[in-house]
Amino acid sequence: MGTSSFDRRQLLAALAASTTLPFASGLARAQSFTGRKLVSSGFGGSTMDIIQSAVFTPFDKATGAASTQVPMQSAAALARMKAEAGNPQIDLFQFSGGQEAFAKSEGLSQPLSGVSRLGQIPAGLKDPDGHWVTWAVIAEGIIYRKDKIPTPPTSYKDFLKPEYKGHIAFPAITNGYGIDFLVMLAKAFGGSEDNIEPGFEAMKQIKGETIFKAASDLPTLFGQGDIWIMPYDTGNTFKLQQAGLPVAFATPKEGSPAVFITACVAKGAKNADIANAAIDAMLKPEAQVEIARTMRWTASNPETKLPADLTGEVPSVDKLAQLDRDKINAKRASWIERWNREIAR
Amino acid sequence: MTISFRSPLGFVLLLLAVLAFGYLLLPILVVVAAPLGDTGYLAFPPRGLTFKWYAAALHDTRYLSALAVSLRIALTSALIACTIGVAAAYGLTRFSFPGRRLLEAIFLSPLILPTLVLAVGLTLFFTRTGLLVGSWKLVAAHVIVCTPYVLRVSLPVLRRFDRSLEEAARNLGASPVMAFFLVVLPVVRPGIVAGTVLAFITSFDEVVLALFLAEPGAPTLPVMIYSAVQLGFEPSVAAVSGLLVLATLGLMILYHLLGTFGGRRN
Amino acid sequence: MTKPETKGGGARWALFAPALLFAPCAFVYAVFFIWPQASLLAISATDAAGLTLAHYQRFAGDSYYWEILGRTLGLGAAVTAITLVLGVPTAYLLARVQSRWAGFLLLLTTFPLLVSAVVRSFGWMVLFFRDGLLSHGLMALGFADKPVQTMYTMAGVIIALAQVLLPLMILTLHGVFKSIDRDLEYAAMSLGARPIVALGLVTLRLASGGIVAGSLLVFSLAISAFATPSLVGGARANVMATAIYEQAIELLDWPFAAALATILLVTVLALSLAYGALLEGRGEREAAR
Repeated sequence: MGTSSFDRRQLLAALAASTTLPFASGLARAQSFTGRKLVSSGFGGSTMDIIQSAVFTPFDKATGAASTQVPMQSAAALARMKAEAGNPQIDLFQFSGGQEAFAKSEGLSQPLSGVSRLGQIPAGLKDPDGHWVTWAVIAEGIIYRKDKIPTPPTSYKDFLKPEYKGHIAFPAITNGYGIDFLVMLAKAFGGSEDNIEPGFEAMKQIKGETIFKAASDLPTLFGQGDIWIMPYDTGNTFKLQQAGLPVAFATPKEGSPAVFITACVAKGAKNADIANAAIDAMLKPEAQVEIARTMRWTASNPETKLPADLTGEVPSVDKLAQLDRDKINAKRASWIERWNREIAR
Repeated sequence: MTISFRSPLGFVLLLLAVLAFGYLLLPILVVVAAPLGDTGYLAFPPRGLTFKWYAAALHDTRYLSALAVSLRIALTSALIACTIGVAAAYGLTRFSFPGRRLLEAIFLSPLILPTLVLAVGLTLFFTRTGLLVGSWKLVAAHVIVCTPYVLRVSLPVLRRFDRSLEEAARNLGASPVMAFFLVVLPVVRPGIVAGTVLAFITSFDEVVLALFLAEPGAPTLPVMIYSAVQLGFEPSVAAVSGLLVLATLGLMILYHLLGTFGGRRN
Repeated sequence: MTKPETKGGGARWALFAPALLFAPCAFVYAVFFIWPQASLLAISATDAAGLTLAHYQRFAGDSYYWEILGRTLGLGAAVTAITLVLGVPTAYLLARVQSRWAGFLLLLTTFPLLVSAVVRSFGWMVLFFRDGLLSHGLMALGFADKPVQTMYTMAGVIIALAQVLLPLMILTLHGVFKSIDRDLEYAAMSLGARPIVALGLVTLRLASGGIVAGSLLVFSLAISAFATPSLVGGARANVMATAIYEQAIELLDWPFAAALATILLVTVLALSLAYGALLEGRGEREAAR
């Protein structure tokens, strides 16, 4: 199984190379990085392994580069990017929590160049100045225990239902999923990114429930923590199901917020050329199909055609709700200050 | 024995010690046993029995190479920390001078600073100065967090050391260096060994500095483990720690059995 | 060897030896600790306009942060107390028991340190959840009548931290107990002291330096620990280290993070200097007696 899909990928890579050659021969030929190393930040664990085999291994094969991912949570990766400003040890950064906007505004990233597939990506999924691009999207919603909650939840308002009391968990708002949950609660009760008050009001009613910080707690929360319902995403639902837990994903009627998995190049990166070429490889439809198949992440490139068995499993980008990330980023610090005092205290 | 376990005092002491061992070892038992369950998450007592998580941990060669990196860095850091730490501790206890207590406090202060603060400070520092390359950055950082352990543990032992013994050796013509190695060191060795062991283990288990300063291609074992749980915990990660515990336990038992047999032969 | 020479040699030794002994440590600290940290801490007292105390005023004027500092010191005190109560008897017995396996048992106490902090926290998580062993055990023993959740509480952080710091207490005390001459205990008892008096008057007093050292070690590590409070304590057990993480990593507010670190450092340095001075004063009085 493993070898056959590997062969298929090789074949696809070869196919892709042979078809692009006549049109962009100069570009394809220039992309030989034999003997050079690319260092990227990575998300760690099995996610990092899958990205390695879906993106970097074929990329290395095609270009001769040697790519490594350094495991770092997005927030820590941004901190390292800032600490190493001017002399970055990591060329390519992958983020999942909106850090790319900070990286750009702090002058830590540089515009992408020579990323041929950048034009295929819709405007809402990339920086207008070309500093970053979204290469995968994760759909947020509600994860629930099928055996405990027979009728699927339909709204973020369901978190206030008395029958779930004592069995609710939600992430702290330093976590990207936590802050989106706050925004969606606000929207469910008539608020918005500009009017977060209803979100805090709703969250206050469940402040006695389980509040966790990291995605790594999920399996234990559902397995041993007696948790029935929490706001999270499709990718983790799939992982929990693979671990044998009876959970399912529900799309709330307020919408499934989209989480962007982005890539950008560090300013002054020694291997910016390889990093740009690797980002181009991330945007390849073949790579994005593989990511959708193995992790249930949504493709960002509209050229990507999912096989029939995956189309129902992975929501497409246009079905997802787009939160106003600039507004959220601008208010994040003050919301966290308030949240620490009113919810977590 | 000075104190009989039958006396009330002895009984209370023994009870507390047994309690301490239970407290120390129960969570270890969880970490070793839980990956034997065939659930995809940790449960204790484990449900079902499988070796697949242990097999997965053993088959992932990256853990083995990370272990090698960790051992190398921990050994180097502990040896450097031991050398400079014992010298400083000896100086702190042997000589009296103004500011001695402040100097001691400064030498010990990395213990209080969250390693995260050290990590950000050192990353900025290495970026600006370009000092050190490769794994030496991490070694330098670990020496800073390990030396206080050596000091902390060897200071009280050195303070308790009867200086008249050393003076006697000096009066008999031993040089200060000889007196240290022949008279002082043998007596205070348990404390120094304990400090060095602590330094080694601290470096071996340190994750924050390693996340920021390890070579990109050569993560340490804690970094591997930390990264593996970032987006979800798999029992194979606990199995890695479980294997480490079992291997150490095996080595210790082997060493002591060999010692016992050797002792009997003599 | 003539007398003046010996004296001269002694004087030179007295002058150069300390410098020689401190030099390596001082050099390493100056380059890799003082320099980087001083430049980091400098940003806590500066802004675009120059010197400022704004970040310190932000701390001082906010009861939320005082609460966190108090909780942090409380955590340190609780963990130190637990490790002392369990560590003193264990280290004493291990130092006194005459068995080939004493060394083995001593090494066994360090096992919690072998398990990566991350994995150790997951071990506790399994025990601490409402459905876990601790909750069931408490109910079976009649201490609780409904399931107890220890996960994501301060109590959980204290239990988990004390377990991993207990080996440090035991190792520190073991070295000190080993270096105390057992004949002193025998002597006290042969003079008619009961074992508890001999232990209290002779051994613990002689070991007081080690007890203080062990307490300061455990206390310092408990208040600066990050992984355990973060993983076991979740969002509610905010301590200085997690607050510093939040400012430095999540919010990238390095000046304020550096200010928080400085406040923690100064508080604890003051505490331990006072503690050390207290002890040294007592030691000098005893020596004078």
